[in-house]
Amino acid sequence: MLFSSCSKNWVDTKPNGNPSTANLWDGETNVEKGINGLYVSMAYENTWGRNLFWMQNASDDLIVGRPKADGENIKNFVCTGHEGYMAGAWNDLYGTLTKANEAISGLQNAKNISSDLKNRSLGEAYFMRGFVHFWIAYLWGHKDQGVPYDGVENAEYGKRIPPQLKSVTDNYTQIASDMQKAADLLPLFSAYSSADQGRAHKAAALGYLVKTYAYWAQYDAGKWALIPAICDRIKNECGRALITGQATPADNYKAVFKIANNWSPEYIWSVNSGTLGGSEFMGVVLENTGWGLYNGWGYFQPTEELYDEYEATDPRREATILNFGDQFTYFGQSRNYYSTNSLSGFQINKYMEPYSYGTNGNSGTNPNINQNGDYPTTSLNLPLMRYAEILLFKAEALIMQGKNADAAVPLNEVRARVGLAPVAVPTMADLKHERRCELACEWTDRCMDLKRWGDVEVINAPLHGRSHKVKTHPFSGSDPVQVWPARSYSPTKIAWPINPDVISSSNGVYKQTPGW
Amino acid sequence: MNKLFMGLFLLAFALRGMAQTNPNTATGVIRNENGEGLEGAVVRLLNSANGFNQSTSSNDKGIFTFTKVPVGGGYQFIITHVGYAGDTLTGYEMKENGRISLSVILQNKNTSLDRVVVIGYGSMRKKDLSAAVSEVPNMDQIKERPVVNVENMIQGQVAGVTVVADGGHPDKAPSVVIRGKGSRGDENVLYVVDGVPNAPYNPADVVSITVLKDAASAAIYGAFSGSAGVILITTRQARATKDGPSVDYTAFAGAKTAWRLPQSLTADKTAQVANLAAKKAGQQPLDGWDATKNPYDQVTRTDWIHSIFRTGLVHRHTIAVNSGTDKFSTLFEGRYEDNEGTLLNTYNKNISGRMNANYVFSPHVKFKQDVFVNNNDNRGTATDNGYSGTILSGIYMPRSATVYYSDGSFGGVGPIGSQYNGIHGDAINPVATLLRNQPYNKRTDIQSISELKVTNIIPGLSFVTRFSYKSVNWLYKDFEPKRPEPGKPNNQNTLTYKTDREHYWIWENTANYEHRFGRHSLGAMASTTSQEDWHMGFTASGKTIDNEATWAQFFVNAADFSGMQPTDYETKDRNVSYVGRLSYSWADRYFLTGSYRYDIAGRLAAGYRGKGLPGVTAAWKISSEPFFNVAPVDLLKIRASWGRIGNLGSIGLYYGYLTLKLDNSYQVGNGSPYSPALYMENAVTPSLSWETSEQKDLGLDVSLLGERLNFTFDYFDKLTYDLIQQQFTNWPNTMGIGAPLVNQGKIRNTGFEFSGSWRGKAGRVDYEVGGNLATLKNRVDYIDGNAKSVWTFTDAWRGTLVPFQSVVGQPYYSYWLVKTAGIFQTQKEVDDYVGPTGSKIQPGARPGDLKFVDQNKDGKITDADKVYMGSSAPKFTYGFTANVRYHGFDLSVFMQGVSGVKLFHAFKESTLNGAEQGYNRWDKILDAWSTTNTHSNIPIISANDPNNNFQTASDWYLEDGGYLRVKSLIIGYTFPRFIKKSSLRVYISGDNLFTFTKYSGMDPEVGGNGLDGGQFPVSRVYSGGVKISL
Repeated sequence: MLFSSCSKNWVDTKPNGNPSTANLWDGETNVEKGINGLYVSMAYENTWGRNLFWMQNASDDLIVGRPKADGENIKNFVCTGHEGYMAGAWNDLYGTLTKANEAISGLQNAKNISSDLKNRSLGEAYFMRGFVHFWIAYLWGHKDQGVPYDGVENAEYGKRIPPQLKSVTDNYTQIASDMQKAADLLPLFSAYSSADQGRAHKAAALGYLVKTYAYWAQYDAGKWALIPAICDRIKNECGRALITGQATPADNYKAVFKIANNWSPEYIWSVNSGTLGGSEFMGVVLENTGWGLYNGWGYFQPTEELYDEYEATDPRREATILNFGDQFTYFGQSRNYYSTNSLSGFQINKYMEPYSYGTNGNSGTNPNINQNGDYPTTSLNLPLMRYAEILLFKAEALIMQGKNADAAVPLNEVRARVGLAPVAVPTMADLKHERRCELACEWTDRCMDLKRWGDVEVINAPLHGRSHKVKTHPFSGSDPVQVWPARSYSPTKIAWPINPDVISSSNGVYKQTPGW
Repeated sequence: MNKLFMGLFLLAFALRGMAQTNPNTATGVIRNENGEGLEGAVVRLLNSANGFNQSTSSNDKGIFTFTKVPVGGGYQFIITHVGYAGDTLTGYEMKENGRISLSVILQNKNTSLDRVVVIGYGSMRKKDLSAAVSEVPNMDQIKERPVVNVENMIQGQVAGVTVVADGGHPDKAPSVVIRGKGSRGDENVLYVVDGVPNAPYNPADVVSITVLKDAASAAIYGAFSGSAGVILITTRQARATKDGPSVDYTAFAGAKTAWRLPQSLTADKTAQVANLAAKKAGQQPLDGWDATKNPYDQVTRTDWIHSIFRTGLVHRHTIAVNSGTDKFSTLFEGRYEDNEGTLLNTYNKNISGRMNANYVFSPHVKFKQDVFVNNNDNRGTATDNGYSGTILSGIYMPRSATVYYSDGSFGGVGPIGSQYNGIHGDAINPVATLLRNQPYNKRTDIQSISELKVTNIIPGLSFVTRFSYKSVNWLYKDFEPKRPEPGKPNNQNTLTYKTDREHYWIWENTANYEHRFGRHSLGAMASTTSQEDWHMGFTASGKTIDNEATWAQFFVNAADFSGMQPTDYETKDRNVSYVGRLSYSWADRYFLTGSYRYDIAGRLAAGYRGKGLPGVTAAWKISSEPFFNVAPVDLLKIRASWGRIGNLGSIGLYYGYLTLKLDNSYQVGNGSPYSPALYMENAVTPSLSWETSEQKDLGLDVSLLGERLNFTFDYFDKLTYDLIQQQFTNWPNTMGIGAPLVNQGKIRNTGFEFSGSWRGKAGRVDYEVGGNLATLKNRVDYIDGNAKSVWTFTDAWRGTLVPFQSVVGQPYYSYWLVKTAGIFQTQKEVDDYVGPTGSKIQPGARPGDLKFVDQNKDGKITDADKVYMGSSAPKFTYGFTANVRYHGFDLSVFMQGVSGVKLFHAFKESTLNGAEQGYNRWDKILDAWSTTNTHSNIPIISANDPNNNFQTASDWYLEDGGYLRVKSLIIGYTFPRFIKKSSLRVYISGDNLFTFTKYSGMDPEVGGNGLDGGQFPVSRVYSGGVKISL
């Protein structure tokens, strides 16, 4: 017996290296590392690197740029939920949601930290919980069936499978509450030193509160009334504003997508990116194989429909879309755009600034891109929300409340910055046009806009591009060509399908999204 | 002399006693060469004159008696005994009230049944075994094959042991599964070499291999058995030599080739297929495929597949010097072995040295010391990656491309600066992948075994203490150069160092006691084991090294270490075990053993560390019963066993301690620096213990006709329970944290095993034929009690095709697929294929697309239509050997096969799919369905796939993976006389000469769970060998 208990002690060796779970919320260094855990998935391909974009790609602005069956099936609304692009993103969003829950709970009893750090960290945790919850909710949530959610505040948390809420509006309720708490706890962005830039801040929380109400409003029009005041707080209290004052209106808009302006007043929330990591989206949309000089992936290409949406004098068109012959700088060399790969004849231009650096066309000389072509991040942050969208939500909220004349102020602020004439009394049509042109090819999800506006026929129309006679010549003439056949979206498919494996592992607790 | 007197006295006494009560008695005593009475000899007394015919058997003193023998002459005694040469005595006469008495000495035949077989913590006569223990037959032949590991040596030789090669990789050993897979995790067989678990050794030194197939025999290794079972290996030991030292040299050398290789499309056909695909999809063909705009990509320049494959050389040389007396003997050995793969620049090399010494201090005190040093160097390549696998890259690459550019650098998908390179997708030059892989990858194992054995402490009691120490040093340095060529360029070079240092020691103290009294035979064994496995190591990387020359590939020249956090570790795994066994037999008829092992494992959480594992066996040797008297039967034994083994390896180290995962984020700080992040990765179940296998076995051993015909038959029922797995059911990923490991679920394997052999002589030809066959039924027995629960498996091809799922009653790793019903030939067929509401079941389908079976008749094709369709575990395995000798010549043939195997040929998704990137494709795509080629089963070529022909995990991918292989053919000649006392043998051999299979992939031995992404074949080897003893 004695021998046996000796053995039991002898075999008990202790682990080395990784800290034990007991220490996570003890001391400022550990707390900061714990909070960093909430941001890990921001840099994943599964999330804002590429895969969440496949569902936005189902709009009329973009097509799948190279044969890719899963992507095509998502765009055609014939996906099953098994597609790794959807299933993987879901998985990583829930991972972050749970880390945020654990942080909220752990920080309540955190030791050896200042109250400032505690408040900021709690604010970051509420923000990140609300932020990932928002993405899950709006993509997979249905009026008649919300997405799974459990908060650490619930007594059953951790002991049960997070239940599907009754309606996506119940999810929005929870998200709005988290964003409110985050806004109360978080500092202003201006209070952050350069080492803390990228953390959640007050304007980001208020910004997502606006977006949550705006999406919620499709089921409860009363939510529009809440939006304008929050938009004003973002402007007045948080000091957020459009970038203006450049040499030309076109420069005003181009400045938004420059590395130097990663943290401009227009910034609300971005995937912080650099040459080590961040969002790889810039490489994802670059010409397939990058004209032989870098590993572009060539995935999402703009359509003729988007190109034609712009007013003739709108400088945003050239800033957003590369058309044959358009001049740009690529690794220090001036080029005129052409592509033998683009199916539509266009490429997204918004994120090309980081590729302008370097010399002699040698990508290795560019200090602003990740040299690893399998993870093509750049020093340009990927904007997920910027102040222009806040102005447009304010305008939309006012129009939806019948205050069309009031909506002219925020709407025209966006137009004036790019040198366009004001609209006196904007209608929803004006708002839709402005929102499309201002935010095209960004992560603001035009597909969701079309769904919530009920523009089914717009989604289902066939999409077009340009077939250039000599695709290696920037100034070759072209013929219009249909690049995507008509689709058959119906509002029954407003929310995306859940991975059936998740449903089966829930052992009957989860139901597939209605309509699938 | 004393003994003899004593014996005579006893005999006289016994005979007198009988004579008084029984007149007309014939009696006698049967002894062995040492004068000891032989029990169990069958004595038949015959008289053809009066028809008398009786038999009896000798008792434990060797005495037999016949009573009431009729008076008369011409009596004949026929005496037989298993393991001894029989004797016949004639011409005896019985007189009224008379007595015949005789004394017979039988000569030992030294037969195979008397051979001693190594079992766990001891050894046993083969004929007394009461558990399912198999020795690998044909060791002499096996060792001449040009194979360099034991896994290959035992393939097909033992019923119930399934060995599957991992393709033709020289640096990977085949997987070995004993009596079916039962674990949800890794299930490694425990190899015990000369009593030491996991000791390194030279395969050329192997003398015998024993497989402990049932849990009762493996239970003695408890939780270390792995739920797979135990294989015991004995190696050559130093021996006394009569005429000075002996020197042996053995060697073989062979040429290895790959075969059944696929071919990709020539350049012009690639363009044709791409244009056809675009046309069918209603898309504009890309200009790059237009011969007038881009003539370069229409010209075939390279045969990629034949550029990456080569004829590899495999050779091994062993030299051994053995010398010694009865008191002290030594064996020195050296080996060099180089096994080149059939893919460029892949190999596995070993250099080893060994010293083995035996000291006999006194007849009862022996000491053995063994030191083995092995240096391994290997280089492999990944072929199973759906994006960058080397063979797949060989298909993906356009054949218009060249291996090298004119400046000598590696070529990409097209010329540098070509406007059309984008049409080819991100294919990688596979020759470059293979040749750029130049890591330093060396590992040195040093093993020392010291063993002291004391016998006869009191009569019957012996004690062995054995201390084994292993030290392993591994250093890996890899410089990955830039990959600038077009295709999938990577302008980042990286230098990585990895190291691991291990020491492992195990100390065992074992006492054995044997005692015979009367007809009872009793054995007892007790052992304690303590062991520690310690590892320490680190990984560090740097990048951006301007100069890629060899001299510059050092950290000092790396400009950038950012984002490359080095990692390091130190782990210690300690275990203590108590082992005991009792065995009892009576009169060579009834055999019983019971064993128990209690393991205490440090890796488990406190309070849950210890667990006992029992084993019980019983056997009845019917042929030893006095009533059983069938002359041709040398041995007839039935046996039964029950036992449990554990799989400690199913749990990681330090499970009882909750630690955080270190990760990193780029979100915080201007410029996106690396910031460390900590979080809990997985939920934890403190009460977790290891998986356990419980197994019942029923067996029959028969030996006939003077042991020329032997066979063994077994039935087993193996249930692995408390499976360790990540919880799936009731833990959807919305929990947001990795599911905890749980002990849940059961897998059952049942099967019949048969092996038989016949030894014979035809004129001057000696021959042996042997065969084995086994059935295996594998199924999930229990998941969680909920009939709807399933096990899913994440194994996927290119992230999309997920072919596996299991449910109770179906095999583990079952295929779960949508059934297909051929190809739609006409639009009418598509339109007529409607569901209950009259709407089309496959609205996206066109003629030439796959027709999927709407199993649940709901009018659409979803996962609910998937059905279970078997697994890659063979239902039936078999092997057949024939050895023939004539004078000095010998011939040996070995064939091996499996059936009831299903394979998922995922390679087709990437290579026959018109909608997959711009890759080049398998030339079989030319046979795809078209209006003029309607009999094809390959769907139509199209750049889009609205019908999900290829993205659906369907039985279109599923193929029969059964095969029969002529595994080995050896023809040898042993010189009858060769320079004085020395001997010489030479032979030639062929391995994997022929394979008969219906499988359309390169090779039916794909390894893993049957998902074949382009596994390359086990090599065909032609070799020759020599054995010289001086």
